[in-house]
Amino acid sequence: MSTPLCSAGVVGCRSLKTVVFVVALFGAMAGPNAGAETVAEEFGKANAAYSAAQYDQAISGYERMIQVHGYDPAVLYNLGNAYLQTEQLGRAILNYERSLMLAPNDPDVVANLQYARGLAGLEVPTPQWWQRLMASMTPNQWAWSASVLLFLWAGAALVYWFKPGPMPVKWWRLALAMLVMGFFLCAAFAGMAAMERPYAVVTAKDAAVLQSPFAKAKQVASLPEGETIAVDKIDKQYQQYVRVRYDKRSLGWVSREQVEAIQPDLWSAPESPQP
Amino acid sequence: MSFPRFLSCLSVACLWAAAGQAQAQQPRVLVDLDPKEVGLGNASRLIIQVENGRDSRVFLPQVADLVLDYLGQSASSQRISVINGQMTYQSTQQKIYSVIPYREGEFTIPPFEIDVDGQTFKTPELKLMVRPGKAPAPVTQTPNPTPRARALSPGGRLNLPGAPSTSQVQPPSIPSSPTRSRQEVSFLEMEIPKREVYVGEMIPVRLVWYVKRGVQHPPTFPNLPSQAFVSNLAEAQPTRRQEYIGNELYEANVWEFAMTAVKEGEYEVDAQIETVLTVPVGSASRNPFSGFGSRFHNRVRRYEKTLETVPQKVTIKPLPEEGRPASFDGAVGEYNLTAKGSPRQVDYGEPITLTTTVQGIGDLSRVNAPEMVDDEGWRIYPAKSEVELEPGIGNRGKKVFEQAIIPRNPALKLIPPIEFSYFNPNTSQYVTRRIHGPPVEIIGSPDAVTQLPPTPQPQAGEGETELTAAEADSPLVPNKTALGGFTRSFTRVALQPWFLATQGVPLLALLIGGVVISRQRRLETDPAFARRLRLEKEYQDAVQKMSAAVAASDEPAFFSSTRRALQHRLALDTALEPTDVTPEKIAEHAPQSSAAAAEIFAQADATVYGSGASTRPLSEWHDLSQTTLTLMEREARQPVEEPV
Repeated sequence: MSTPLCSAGVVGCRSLKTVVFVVALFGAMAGPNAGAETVAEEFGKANAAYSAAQYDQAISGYERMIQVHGYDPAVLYNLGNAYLQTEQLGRAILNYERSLMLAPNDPDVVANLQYARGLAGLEVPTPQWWQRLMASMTPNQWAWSASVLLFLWAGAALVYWFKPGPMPVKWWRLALAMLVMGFFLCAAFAGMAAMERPYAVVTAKDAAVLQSPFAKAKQVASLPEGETIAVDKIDKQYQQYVRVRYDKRSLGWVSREQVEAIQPDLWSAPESPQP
Repeated sequence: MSFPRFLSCLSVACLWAAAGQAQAQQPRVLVDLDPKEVGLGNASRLIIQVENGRDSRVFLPQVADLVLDYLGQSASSQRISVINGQMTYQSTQQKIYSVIPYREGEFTIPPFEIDVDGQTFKTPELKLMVRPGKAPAPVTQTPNPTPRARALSPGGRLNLPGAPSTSQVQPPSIPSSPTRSRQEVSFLEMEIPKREVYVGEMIPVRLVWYVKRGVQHPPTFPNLPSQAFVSNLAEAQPTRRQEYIGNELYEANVWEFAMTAVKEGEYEVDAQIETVLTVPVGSASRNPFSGFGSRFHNRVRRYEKTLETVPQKVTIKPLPEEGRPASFDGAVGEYNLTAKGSPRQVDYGEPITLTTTVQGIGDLSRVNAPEMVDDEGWRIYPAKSEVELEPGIGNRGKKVFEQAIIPRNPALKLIPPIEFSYFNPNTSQYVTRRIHGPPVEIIGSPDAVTQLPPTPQPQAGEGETELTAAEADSPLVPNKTALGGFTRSFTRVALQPWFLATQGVPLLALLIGGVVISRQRRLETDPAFARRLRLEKEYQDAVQKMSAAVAASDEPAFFSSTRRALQHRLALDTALEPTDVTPEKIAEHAPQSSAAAAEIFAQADATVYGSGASTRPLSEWHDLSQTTLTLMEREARQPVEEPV
């Protein structure tokens, strides 16, 4: 956009840049309040459309918010509800899953996700106690908790070593032990969450699992809409196909048009075919 | 043919020729039952030993409820001996039969004939006592059963003496699949009990992977690539046992699992297993009683194989429309229903937890929550469920549903009746189970409640929910009205290099702290270390002051510092205190430096006490001092040479 204007003359270009900078500066200063109002208004409008049973309008409102402002657990949750009302079970489950990634301890999301999976005829998994504990915070919250505990532990250990004044040694040791245990717990959960295989949700009505990444390949299974499947390896992509793990152990290829990763920025642009 | 091989062939030929000329001993036949008493379900062995016979034929009798089955030949030996110039020939061979009883009590095997080299021998009557035990199903013995038929029929399963108890004779619970040739090293078989099932019906399946004894393979899991069934094969743990098929001993890996029909139509079901088999060369022809010769084990061959079962046709029928109850929600099997509500006494607007349990046989993952017959006056939230399976193949257990229900009418006294319908595939009929709702007591009135009841989970997010009329009746938990916090990316921070690097900061601080504290503790506990550190510091200080005095042409300061430096230098390398170091001590400990040191000491005394000015420029004294200090340090490092 700015290239033709700048090519008219260096002086003119500089003055134009100054004006743009000043405007941007004022915009940035006024931005937070004005932006917050806009976001709240947008959210309110989309919610109003939902309440009026204009679900398509609500969907486009929530989607626009995500495009402009990013991902918010409440927006994703409401978007999931809107998709569910339009019987797009796959997309509903996808957005609930995304919302859960950002707010894992939200029982509303869990309840609606279970409901949606039930509607889709899918098994509603029962998490183990440690999975419930792990889901009480996001992976990033676990990571930051581990980091904070590590800093605290290191600081407390240094204080304990150098003993700047009289201190209750017994209690200090207990605190150190608690901190290190807390650190290992948080680090374990953060590590497990970080290493977990990424998941995708089937958004098509009936996704075909192919033996190899070609349209004419033999179909080895079909996946129902809303099914959550593990993506085998992120680098295992070929053209518009991704390799997924279905049925816990079996591997197959699914068109990327039929599934969507829960982690939105997981997949890069489709690969061009290799010679 | 090589010469040594020719010689060995020639010697064998001579031996046979000699055997022909040798005087054969009289043939003899020994017959025995081992053991003579067995439990029902186990097998005995009939051993026929023929001595000095070249050709023998056994004419076995027929005994009711007793199956005699030829297993093969065991020990066989031939011996030619020359005694007093006379050559004699002796041979022994054993024929072994399995003896499998199908009832308790005493069996009598009547005398039977054995023909040895044209002579007929008659055996004595043999008795077998069968104690009570696990009874196999009776079978009719076919004249020439195929090896597989013997293997899968009750009569074909043989318990070897000393073999694991898992290989005991067991009646088959489900029919077997079509069979294939038994000559294979490894094969896969699937047993499906029903060929006609309904959509949603769960059936038990047994998958057996046979691998001939001695053949090695890595742990491998089978796959059931069917679009018409879903199975819990992935969760099934295989059991292992040994099984005879014909005369060959196989390792049988058995997966028992359940599969659920999901699509109507006619399908072929088969299972696959991909494996790598390591086969000892020549093992296939070995006698099961003699085991594998160790000389064969050095030669192996590896095969990558995809084993498949013989496809079996299964028809999946749709559930009948006729008689389908309104409350039917896809459950197929046989179930019971129970329910309870807690607490029984609640304030108006407070939730009650309704727990319904569906227990029985079938695919519980496809069982949805039972419904209230009349939910008027109640607000019902989606149910959470938990499946508890009994040990086994995963087709038996219970599913517990928990859901929050909120009374909207204080006059309610009972939770409404709960209804659950399922289709019973065994009777091909729909069954509806209805139970009365548990009683409930509601305290308070709507006037006491000014707001709509919140989401039943107290920790629910923002806690602000706005309900429309449509939403209030929807099973969905309503929309949120407050935003959380926007994020641009779902990237996991734990994998970011900058985050990982940040964690190095406290670790580094700990490391530095550790070094400092250990140094401090050593200073406290090690006086020699503390002294050395103190002297090092004082020595460095004196050397610096020397240089500064040279720069400032301050002669008294220079000589004072130089003397201190020399004293500290020697003190560092000896146990002397700096104040005790004199030119004599230097001469004693560092003889090479002693002359220069004495000169410096003398000039220092002269300068300090004002008895004479320096005869050289200060820079020369500085150089001399540096050289002396270096020499003293070098002398301290070198061991003192003892005079010879």
